[in-house]
Amino acid sequence: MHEADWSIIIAFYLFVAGMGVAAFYTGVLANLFSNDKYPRLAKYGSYIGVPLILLGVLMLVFDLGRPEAFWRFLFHLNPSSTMSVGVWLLTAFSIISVLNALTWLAEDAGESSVLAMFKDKPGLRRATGLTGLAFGILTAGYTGVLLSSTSTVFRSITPLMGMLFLVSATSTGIAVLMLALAWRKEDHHIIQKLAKADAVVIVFEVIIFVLFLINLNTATPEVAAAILSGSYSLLFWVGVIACGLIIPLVVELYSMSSGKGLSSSAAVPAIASVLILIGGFLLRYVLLFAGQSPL
Amino acid sequence: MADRMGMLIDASKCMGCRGCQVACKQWNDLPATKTAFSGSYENPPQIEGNTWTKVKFSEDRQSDGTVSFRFLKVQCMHCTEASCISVCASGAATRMDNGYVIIDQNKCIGCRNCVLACPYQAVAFDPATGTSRKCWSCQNRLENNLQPACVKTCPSGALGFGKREDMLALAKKRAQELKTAGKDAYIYGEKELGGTNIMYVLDAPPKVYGLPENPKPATAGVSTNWMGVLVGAGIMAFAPFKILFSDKSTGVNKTPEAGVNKNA
Ligand code: SF4
Ligand code: SF4
Repeated sequence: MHEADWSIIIAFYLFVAGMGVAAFYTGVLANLFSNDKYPRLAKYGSYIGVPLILLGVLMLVFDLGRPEAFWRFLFHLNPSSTMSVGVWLLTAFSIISVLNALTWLAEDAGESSVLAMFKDKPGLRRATGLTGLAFGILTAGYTGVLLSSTSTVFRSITPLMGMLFLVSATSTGIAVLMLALAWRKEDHHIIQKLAKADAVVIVFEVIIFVLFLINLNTATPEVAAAILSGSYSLLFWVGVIACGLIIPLVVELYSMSSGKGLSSSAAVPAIASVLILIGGFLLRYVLLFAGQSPL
Repeated sequence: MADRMGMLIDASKCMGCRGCQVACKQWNDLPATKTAFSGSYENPPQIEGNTWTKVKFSEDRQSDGTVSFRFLKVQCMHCTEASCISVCASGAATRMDNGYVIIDQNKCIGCRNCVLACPYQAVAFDPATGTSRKCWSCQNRLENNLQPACVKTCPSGALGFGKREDMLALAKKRAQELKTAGKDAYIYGEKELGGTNIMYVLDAPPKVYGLPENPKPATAGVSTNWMGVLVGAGIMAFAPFKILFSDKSTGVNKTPEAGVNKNA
């Protein structure tokens, strides 16, 4: 059998990069629209986003045939290449998000730290937050555009793939934020709010997914069949749909509508989050491999 | 700009001897690969980093139950709308003045974007070099006014080489001959992907030979896809975040949340 040219490492890369940028921009968005009521979300998003995005970049580099030559990426810009555009987005986002994280770290590190130069820089924090928001959203979308413009299978089902990956990344970003908040035993009310936001995002994701599959079924029925009823069907229905979308949505809706008793337990959103992360990874895994099936 | 050269592959004359496959390996110093029997004499099963051309075997089952074998030499088509060039992020895949598409082995970093993007599965990753490699139409022979090694070898006259326009004229003439003889005839590569340097004369529909009927270049949906991302970003920033988190007053504002719950 033909070995897949883009291995599971790339599925991890798409997952980790999307989750990282989304943790960052969901934190910024929440804080932005609440008029700085949730700086904590922005801070956590920044702390989570930076290591994840750096991990993602490392995975990308080490999966190259010649990792030592990765710098060539940075000395060339090919606007028609989604990879090229994406590498530049990733680079910009990494620098911006690291600066942003430093402004938070400087605060947490206390006096006399080496980070003193980043202390009390609300302007820098805001500027990096806003530009990071823009670059983050584009990066999350890029992961989908990359797969759809590169894989010959998905070329025909535009423009939904970029949108699907963006929305799915947002859901995983919110999930990882919820996990962090639950772990740090933060105010339950913030977690609840995130869970609500996530429920809305998941509803969008389901709608986009249905349209996506309809398109796929028209363009390449063989691949749609492989996903829906063939070799990927178990992973797809159990992993992507049940774990990643339906169960978390039900859990989130239930904990929203139920009384105080259950909804104040951090375990519920934490479970939903873990399921979302599993589903998010499997979504990328299934599409990456189905997208490489020979036609 | 130099004349655009081209190759014509007449599938109706190919007898599946794979001389071209061997000649390519020899001229380009490509090692043999160890393969296992896969149920067909087609071997190796796909183009590889060190197998730049091969003969593809397709079984065409007729309505009367007989099976006819179809042989097709496959390799990089040297497309005008070349997906490999448009997706390459390092600038390794480029077009030469004479219209051929090559991958500069010094610049390639082995990201395999081109491997996924090629509509003909004609470029492959070579673990030995860490780069992606493919047919370069024997540029070092062309420079010395020699034909590509595969064309030179072909004993059945299935391969022709010359100016692309001459090859196209030849293709039309051959197709006419086949039709006169009461056979099917198709020309492939005249218009596909902006016209490819390598063209085929086929005696059965392209699909039977495993050629994509309507190949799309990698650039096909990029801009609409980015539009989709922006639309998605707009909706998402607005619906979940703006509505849920906007707190102009102090305390938790209940009303907008209720609105979202209804939507959900
Ligand atoms: S056949 Fe494939 S490798 Fe050759 S030019 Fe076209 S896209 Fe590039
Ligand atoms: S594998 Fe090499 S030639 Fe192909 S896209 Fe990547 S850098 Fe370019």
